[in-house]
Amino acid sequence: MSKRRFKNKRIFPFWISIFSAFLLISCAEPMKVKIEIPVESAIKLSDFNEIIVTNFFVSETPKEFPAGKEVANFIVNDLRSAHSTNVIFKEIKLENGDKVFGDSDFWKNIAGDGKNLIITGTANIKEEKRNVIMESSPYTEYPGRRIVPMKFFVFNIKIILIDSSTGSIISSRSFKEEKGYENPDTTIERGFMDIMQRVANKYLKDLFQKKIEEERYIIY
Amino acid sequence: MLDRGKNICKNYFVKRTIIILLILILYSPFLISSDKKVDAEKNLKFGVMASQKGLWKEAIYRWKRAIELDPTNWKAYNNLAVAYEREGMFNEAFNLYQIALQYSNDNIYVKKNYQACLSIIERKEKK
Repeated sequence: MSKRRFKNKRIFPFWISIFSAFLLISCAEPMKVKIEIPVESAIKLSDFNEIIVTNFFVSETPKEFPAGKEVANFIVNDLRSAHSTNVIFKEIKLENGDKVFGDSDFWKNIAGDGKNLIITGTANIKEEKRNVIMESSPYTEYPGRRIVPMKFFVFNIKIILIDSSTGSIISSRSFKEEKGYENPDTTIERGFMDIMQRVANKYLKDLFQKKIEEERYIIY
Repeated sequence: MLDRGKNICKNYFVKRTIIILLILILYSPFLISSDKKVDAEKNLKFGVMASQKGLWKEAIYRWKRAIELDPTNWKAYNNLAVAYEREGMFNEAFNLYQIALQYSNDNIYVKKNYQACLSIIERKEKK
């Protein structure tokens, strides 16, 4: 009997270790992750035959830069790369300024028959020179705070979506974006591309596919 | 007398090898399946690493492979469902969560994922 007890005492820690090892192996560890889940937006591209992008109405822009046409070209290329729906560019005369966007007959005539989505709007670009306080690390040529003259490009863009079958506005959103450059020779083309990229990331990607952030558990 | 002894020895070794072979044959499926389970776990963990780095396509491939190797790996079903939700494939994700729940005996984290997915599907249907 005493021998048996002795034996059990020796075996007991062994089984404990085996059991704890088994528990460690069999326990599933969860990891909380944030994922972006696509949900359908209010504007369904499948409802439209094609997307017509017109030149934008411009009231202020540096003379050498055709902002109205460039904004439209950027949107056309961006949409063509992301969507299968046919995207075309149409040059129109925007004589009445902002008022034209409320003229439903005008937009009905432009798009022709069928249900098409018209993307139009206004684009104003300003070039500014500003003095900016910049802080450099002590290991650079000019350590500490200093005032730097910078060249700024300020974009005011309004993107309007019109349903060609009714000629009415279905969505309108305005953006004000600006970007500064230390190099005084920075061209407007460079500033335009940088800022339009921001607009595309903020708006064009969300336009037809909205995403919501949700939490899920990944288990390993 | 010597020949008889030799025969007994021979019979003993033949019997022993036959028994060993039989045991090996009987246990081989278990040995192979445990190997597959280990591989499935490796793929599962590789997929988790890939998803952490934002490589979700690679993660999907790994978790699919884990399910192929071990069709009872509920963690792989759960993770694959999360990846499918991210792709907008809600119905496929829902089915996978159901399988994961079955194999995991209603694991609490799988249940949370399942309920969240269900609420998205319901919201979509209401629209």
